[in-house]
Amino acid sequence: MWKLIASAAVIVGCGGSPRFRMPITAAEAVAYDSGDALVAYLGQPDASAQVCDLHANGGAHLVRLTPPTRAALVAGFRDGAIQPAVWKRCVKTLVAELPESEQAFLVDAMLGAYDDLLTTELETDPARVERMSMLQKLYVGRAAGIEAHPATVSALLARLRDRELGPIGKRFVRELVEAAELEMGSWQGRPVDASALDALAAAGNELTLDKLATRLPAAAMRDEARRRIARIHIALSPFPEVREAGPALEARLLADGNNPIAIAEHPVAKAWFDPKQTVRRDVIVRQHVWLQTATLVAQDRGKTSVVPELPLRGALLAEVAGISRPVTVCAPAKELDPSPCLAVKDLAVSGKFVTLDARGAVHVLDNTRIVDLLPIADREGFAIPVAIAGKPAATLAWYLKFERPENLVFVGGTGARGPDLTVRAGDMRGERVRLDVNFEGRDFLAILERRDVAAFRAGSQGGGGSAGSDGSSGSSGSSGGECGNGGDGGNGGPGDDGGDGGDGGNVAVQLACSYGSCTALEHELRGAIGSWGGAGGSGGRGGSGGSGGSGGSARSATTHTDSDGNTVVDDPGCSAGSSGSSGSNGSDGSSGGNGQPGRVTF
Amino acid sequence: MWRYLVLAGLAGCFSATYGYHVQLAEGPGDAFEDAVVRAQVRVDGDAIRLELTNKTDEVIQVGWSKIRLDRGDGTQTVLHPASDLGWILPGTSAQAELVPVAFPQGDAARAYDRRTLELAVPVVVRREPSTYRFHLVVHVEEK
Repeated sequence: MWKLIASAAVIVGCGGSPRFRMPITAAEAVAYDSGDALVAYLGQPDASAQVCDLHANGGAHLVRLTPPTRAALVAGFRDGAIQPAVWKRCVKTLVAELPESEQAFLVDAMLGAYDDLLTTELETDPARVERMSMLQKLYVGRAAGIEAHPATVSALLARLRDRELGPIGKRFVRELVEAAELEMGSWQGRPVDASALDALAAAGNELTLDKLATRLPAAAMRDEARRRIARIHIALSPFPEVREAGPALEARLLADGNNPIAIAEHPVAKAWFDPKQTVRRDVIVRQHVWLQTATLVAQDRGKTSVVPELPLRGALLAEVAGISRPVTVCAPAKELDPSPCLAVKDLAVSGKFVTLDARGAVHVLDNTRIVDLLPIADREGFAIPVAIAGKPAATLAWYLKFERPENLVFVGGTGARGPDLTVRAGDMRGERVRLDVNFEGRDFLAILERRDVAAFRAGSQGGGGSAGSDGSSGSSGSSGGECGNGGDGGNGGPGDDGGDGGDGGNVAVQLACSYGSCTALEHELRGAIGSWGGAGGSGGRGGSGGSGGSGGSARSATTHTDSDGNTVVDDPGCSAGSSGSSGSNGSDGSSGGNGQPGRVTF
Repeated sequence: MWRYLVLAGLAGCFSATYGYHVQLAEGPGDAFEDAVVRAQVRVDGDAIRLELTNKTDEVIQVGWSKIRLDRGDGTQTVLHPASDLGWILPGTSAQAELVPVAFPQGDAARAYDRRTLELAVPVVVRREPSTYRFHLVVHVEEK
């Protein structure tokens, strides 16, 4: 039977708390269906909160939030394992999507973390302050109707009342109390009305208006606060057509939250990626050749992590007819940005490995089959083409590198001949080579950077010979009786000979070159594709000779004195017996012969 | 010019407390100035005090909720003014108490010595968005 080495273990055992081979992709984290895996994923640089989108259209994501996962997610943030920005996006997404009953439990858990973090340690712990700030922002800025269980809130407030805090902690509590006052319709001790909102708008107090738009109890007043924010944004817009648009734009902004253009009326003249605003990474492909799967990771200044999402807002710019300045993808509705913009629904990314989410961020599929990578391997870089209204608009290319995979050497069973193989090989763009090893009708594909070919091996190898068994040990000699000699030890048995190694199988190589002559490629592959005989088994060791028996003990003479006073010898005694000689060691078995390589034909 | 931050002693927690001194790298002098703004930045207790003077003839809108302090170690803190300051009218100044800011004590304090912090302040000037980046060079001394 052929031996396939398939090592797919991802979890490295470590006591009670699992650790994961890093970087861990979103797909791997989701497959584990555990809070620890989710925390491990989100704790990495460039992790995407899309994994928390229960209803994501594509890409690996949670399908439910179990209580243990919820607890791990909040504890992971509280303890600093997850950075605040990605955690905030994750939790905001979950809160928006969870049913009301589960929503309250998640807000409860957030308040629990708030309670844990709000101590005097805040005063000298910047990271803790950052986490507290994020919790405060999330809680105070939550949408109307999203609440914790009332008992949780009152218990927290009761505990905070008597808590000893420093200046930073006291600020957090003050802001929390201020938010609670807003929820009762009061700001700075006065009821909020239209004239108060107008005064704030006239002074450009957007920070306060934003709080009122979120926390005021009456929906109508929240809308009025939003209207003032929209007016500020319109008045300060760099687009003259926005400032002159009149009430229709204000109404649209309040209804939709942004100002998408109709592409039919404003056709795209040109589009491009702004290098200063565009996320750039090197995409690294890790192939698991025995499983025929691959993982895509990213490198940034030598550090490896997951492939980041690519937000198109700000990065993708387009010049469109009838608009005075370049436009980009629309901002989230909450921002009330009146700038003419590209609606996400008008955008598309092409390719099997990229998806576009509802926010206008591109996501790269990070787990796939090697065979599916052939199209992108045949290009210089990892291309992300973007179309606007169905027409190709701009393409972003990231550097792409295939890591050298594990050798694809098929080894025969013990002492058996290696398998006969057919290898199809060919050149690709971007200085890459593809190898397809056919074994018993199944294809094993590997993609190599050309510079890695010399160090890579693919082919057939005979199985190693069996090791000879060791010889038996000689028996020990018998011990001598009193005054008697010990018996000789038995000789050790000879070791068995090792088995012969199997011969390598025959390998037929078929070359197909699309970008020039195959001569150079054949030269390089002759060192990499081969057939190798299996090593002969080692001979068994000869058995050790038995030790000689020990000699019997000596006996002392005995005498007595007769009536005449003479000494009479009763027993002269005897000297001790000599030990028997040890047996000789058995001879070692000889090693088996090495197998012969098979025939390799190009 | 050196700005001084005097932290209250932390009795019983550490054998020594540390004071933080910061210098605005954009000097010379004690402030940054260009054709648009005059800015003074200093650290004071649990806040960064930012004074911005509008030198233009139009209002300046500061993204008060989007001010970030990059600590030079890969972490960022989002700061906001303790009270809403709104627009800065032409020829006027706004004095913002940006919170919350914590500096470490104990061994972690030494890691801040000679570190450069970046205070990023987004603004809209003449309807064009841009960001002022003030760099604060930190010196730490045992009290």
